[in-house]
Amino acid sequence: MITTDYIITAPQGMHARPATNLVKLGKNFQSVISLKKGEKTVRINSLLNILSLSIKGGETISVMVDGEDEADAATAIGLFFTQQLKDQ
Amino acid sequence: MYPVHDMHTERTRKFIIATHGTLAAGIKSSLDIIIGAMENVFLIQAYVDENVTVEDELKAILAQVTDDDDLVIFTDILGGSVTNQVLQHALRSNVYIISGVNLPLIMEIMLADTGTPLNEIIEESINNAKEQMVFVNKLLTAENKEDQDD
Repeated sequence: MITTDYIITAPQGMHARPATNLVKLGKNFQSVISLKKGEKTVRINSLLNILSLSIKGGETISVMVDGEDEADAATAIGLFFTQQLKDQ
Repeated sequence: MYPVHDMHTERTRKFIIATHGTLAAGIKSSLDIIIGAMENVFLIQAYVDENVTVEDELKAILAQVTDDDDLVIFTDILGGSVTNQVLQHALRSNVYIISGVNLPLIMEIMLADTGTPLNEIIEESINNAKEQMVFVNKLLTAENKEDQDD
């Protein structure tokens, strides 16, 4: 399993459109991908579960990727959080 | 009673949004903005055109749904005439009918894993969507109180 922490740089945080894109991104991989904020962990295959974390700009979240293609998945998710999210 | 086709994972999912008036088109507009254009989404806007009945519109859509498809129908009001007519004319083994539609519920179901059984997806999505109905002022008050207590 690969675990990586990210600081959310997008001022609007994780709102509906980027959360949707994250769900879609996760569909490209076999690995189980989860987000953790505080004590709460959710899989990214549910839009509403992602939104339930209320991820705001400036907060830190952890991403856990577990599965055969975890290296590729972790790279793609990393790009999402470091680059794509702030543009959405 | 649950639909019986749940174990098939390679089935095509099709969707109808059926509402009194043009709410369905409004929901579709929001979906297009948030999740992008989706295939296999049909709209029924009851009573907008007095020459077109819900039954007629349903029949036209059902003609495009095969036994190898699953059809999820979102309706606006449980006990309303749109839901009642959907029940009357569309209830069959591969049709899943959900009333009280809202945008979070539709997004959750449309984005759900195609490999997960629809019964499971619908149950969980309804629970998640219910949690989206929040008196936000009260939530903020509670959060402010927590911050002050810390």
